[in-house]
Amino acid sequence: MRALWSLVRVNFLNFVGTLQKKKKGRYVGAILMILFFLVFFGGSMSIQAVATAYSLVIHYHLPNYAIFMGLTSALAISLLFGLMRATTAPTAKDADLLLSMPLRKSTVVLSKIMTQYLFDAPLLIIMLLPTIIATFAFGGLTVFGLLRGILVVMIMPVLSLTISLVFGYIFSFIRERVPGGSLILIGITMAILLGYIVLNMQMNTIFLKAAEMGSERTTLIIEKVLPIKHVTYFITDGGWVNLLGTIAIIFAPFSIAVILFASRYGRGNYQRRSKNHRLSFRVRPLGSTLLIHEAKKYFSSPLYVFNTAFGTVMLVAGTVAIMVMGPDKIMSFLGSDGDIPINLSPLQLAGGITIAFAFMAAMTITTASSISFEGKKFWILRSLPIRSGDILASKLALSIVLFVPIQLICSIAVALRLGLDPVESIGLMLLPAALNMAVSGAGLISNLLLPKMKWQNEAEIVKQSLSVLLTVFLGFGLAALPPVLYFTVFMRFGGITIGAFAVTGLFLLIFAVEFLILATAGKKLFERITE
Amino acid sequence: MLQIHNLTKTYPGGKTAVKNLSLTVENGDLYGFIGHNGAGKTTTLKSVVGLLPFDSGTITIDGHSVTAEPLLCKSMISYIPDTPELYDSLTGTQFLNFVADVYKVSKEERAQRIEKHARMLEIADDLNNQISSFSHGMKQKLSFIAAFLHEPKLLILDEPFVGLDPRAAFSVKTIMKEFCEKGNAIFFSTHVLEVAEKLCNKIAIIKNGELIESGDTQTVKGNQSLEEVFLELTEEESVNK
Repeated sequence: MRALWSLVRVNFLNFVGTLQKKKKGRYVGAILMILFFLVFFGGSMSIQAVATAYSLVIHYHLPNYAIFMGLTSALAISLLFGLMRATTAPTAKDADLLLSMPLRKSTVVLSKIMTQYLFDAPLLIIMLLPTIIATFAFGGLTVFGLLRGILVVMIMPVLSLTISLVFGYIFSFIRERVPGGSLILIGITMAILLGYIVLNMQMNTIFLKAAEMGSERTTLIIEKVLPIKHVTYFITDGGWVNLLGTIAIIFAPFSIAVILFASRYGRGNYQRRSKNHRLSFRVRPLGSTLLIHEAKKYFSSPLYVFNTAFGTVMLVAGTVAIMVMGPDKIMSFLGSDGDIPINLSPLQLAGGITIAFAFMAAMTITTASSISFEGKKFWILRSLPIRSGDILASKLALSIVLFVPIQLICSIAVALRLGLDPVESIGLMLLPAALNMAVSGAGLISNLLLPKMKWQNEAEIVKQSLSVLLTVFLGFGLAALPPVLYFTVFMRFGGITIGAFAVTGLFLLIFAVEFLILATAGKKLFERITE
Repeated sequence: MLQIHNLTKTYPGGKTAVKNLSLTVENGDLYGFIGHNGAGKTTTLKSVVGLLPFDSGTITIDGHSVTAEPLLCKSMISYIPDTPELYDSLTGTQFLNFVADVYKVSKEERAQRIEKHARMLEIADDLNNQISSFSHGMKQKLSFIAAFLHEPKLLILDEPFVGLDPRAAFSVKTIMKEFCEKGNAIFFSTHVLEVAEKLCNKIAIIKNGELIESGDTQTVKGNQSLEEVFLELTEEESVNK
């Protein structure tokens, strides 16, 4: 027990150590970011939970259903978090050290899992606890129901842990044993994520419509979703059967996941060996060598791809949906939630789609962490006779190449499907491309200003670095600019097409300024970066 | 070939890693750079390669300043760090092709050089495997092959023998000697004094960032072993301080 506590403490201190900054601002930045996240995320989740619980308990008299919906959301988020955690290649760097000590392997494994639980739990508690408290506050739960609910809230993070451990095991197997495993993983992860988004949207609509049909319908839904059914009834009604069902649903898969994790822990990574001993030599010019090299580095990290290529995936999926549905079905789909029927002209519809594409363009930015991503390997580029400008250009080019060609094809397809004329098409086609270029440039500048070369885990730079956060904020800000300018200026003067050309011009101007900065001060900043 | 004149480097924390260091590596030199941990060896080597900016002094390679003409200087040298962090997700061949493309080495030349050195270092059968599967020694061997790809004039090596098996260490020493016999030069740091003594024609000893002895190996060590001289010099310095 003492050993277990020591191990958990060391894991925790190791995590805290990653937040430590040199000199001033020690922990402060990290703590502020965590607080901001908790307040923002917790606040929005609480408001949503209270509103849903109020509607379902007070308006529809369906407390069971309020709990069920809270649990479903928590499960969906667990799936997402577990999946995201699993995409990071497992790094048990301390396995040799710990297993060489007089410690039981089970203790070491348990300490790892407990630490992960402690990191995962707060988020899922924030997700579910407001629903339980709000349902109780609105009279939908007894005091014992509240206590049972709190107990479930505390053990629900185990589900997220189970998902991450199982996916982690499967992903490691694919990564190590299957040729092109990393790319396959990226495909699988993207497909699951896209499926999750579509399913989540559909489920919310179905669940809310069911609430309008009354308790018979909602009971039918709860009964159908077996894993959640027992947990829901355990909270609302209690009872041994429901308690056992809850324990079985949460802990049976968890036990299997722990066995899988333990079987891999400390085993070292298996490496597929090539049977081909013939060496192939292909000569490329410097520009394409650097770009291909950037692309190889990028695709070698599922986490990097997962966090930056989702906009492109959504773009393609959205375009396919638009091509299949056509303008009439899109408008009836858009108007399905409201009382006012939506009737837009093809150009207005295309304008809306272009704004959506612009947000996707802002999501597909690789530059914000591309310098930090070099990490300990930075010496290679720095010691080679390559101009700093060429290196920066290759990083910028990758970000643009990953989105713009696909977006242009998608925009052309949408324009043809909606029957736009060539001038309208060009205006709307260029806007997301120009936005992507502008945000890519901004991302590279922010990474030059805020490089983070010392990191242990890719997540530190791909997801948590300040340069990425700044770029995301800036990207979404720029993506929001076209609708803001349309409704304030171009709706009265010029219209959609003129507005699209004007905003595209603005984005290209921003990109030109960024390019100039990169070509001058950017190069100097790059040369000043040390490992 | 390499001239370091009054090199001084202070890190942001205030620690002066190298103080007024001057030395000259001439064509054909196999120059060993020895010193205790934290003496300033790696800082000096990284400054030569252009990885670290320095506060004052000049470094020239073949008469060209590393600060004024960094690309030209880098095209004449090759550098291998003490722990070569390579692109784990690439195969050995992919990494070598990348380096060869940067140095604009033709297909025929790269094939010939890679095959020659890969055979010597007994790594030819592993080049199509991912670097992540390589041991430290194999990464070191791969770095050596990459370093010789463009036939540099000067090699900068930081602890080149760490992690190499005896056969590979022997091959590396042979390659290093052949390289210098052709009129090129090697400037390398090491803790293995026996190797430095047998291999190098010149030695420099650094302590606390200052050069305390440099010159022909025979002159530096006299009738003693290099180990004895090193211990004596560093001890004397400690006593003086």
